[in-house]
Amino acid sequence: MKKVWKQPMLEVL
Amino acid sequence: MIKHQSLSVQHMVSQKEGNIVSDMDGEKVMLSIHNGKYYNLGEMGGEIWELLEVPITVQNLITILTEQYDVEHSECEEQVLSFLTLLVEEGIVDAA
Repeated sequence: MKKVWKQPMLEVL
Repeated sequence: MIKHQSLSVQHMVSQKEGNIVSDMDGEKVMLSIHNGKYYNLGEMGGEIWELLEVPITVQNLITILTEQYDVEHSECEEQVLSFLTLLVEEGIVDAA
């Protein structure tokens, strides 16, 4: 069973 | 070392030293001691970050991710390249 893909995001603080 | 150039699947990428990394509620947060910025890589970004512990080609990285996640190869490639380009521009990932 493959895991659910989410778009990788970079948050810069 | 690339800078201000487009990243491709042939490039070798790896974590750059000088970052303090921690897990917060499943998300990877990081402080760069080089530029004083805090980053939140999120859950998926954290997974990718861990895969960069040893130098790896972007192509191999995408192969691993598409084996583990329910995502089309083309979609994964586009999103991972975009994400890695940001990491390289911020100086927290090395690409060669």
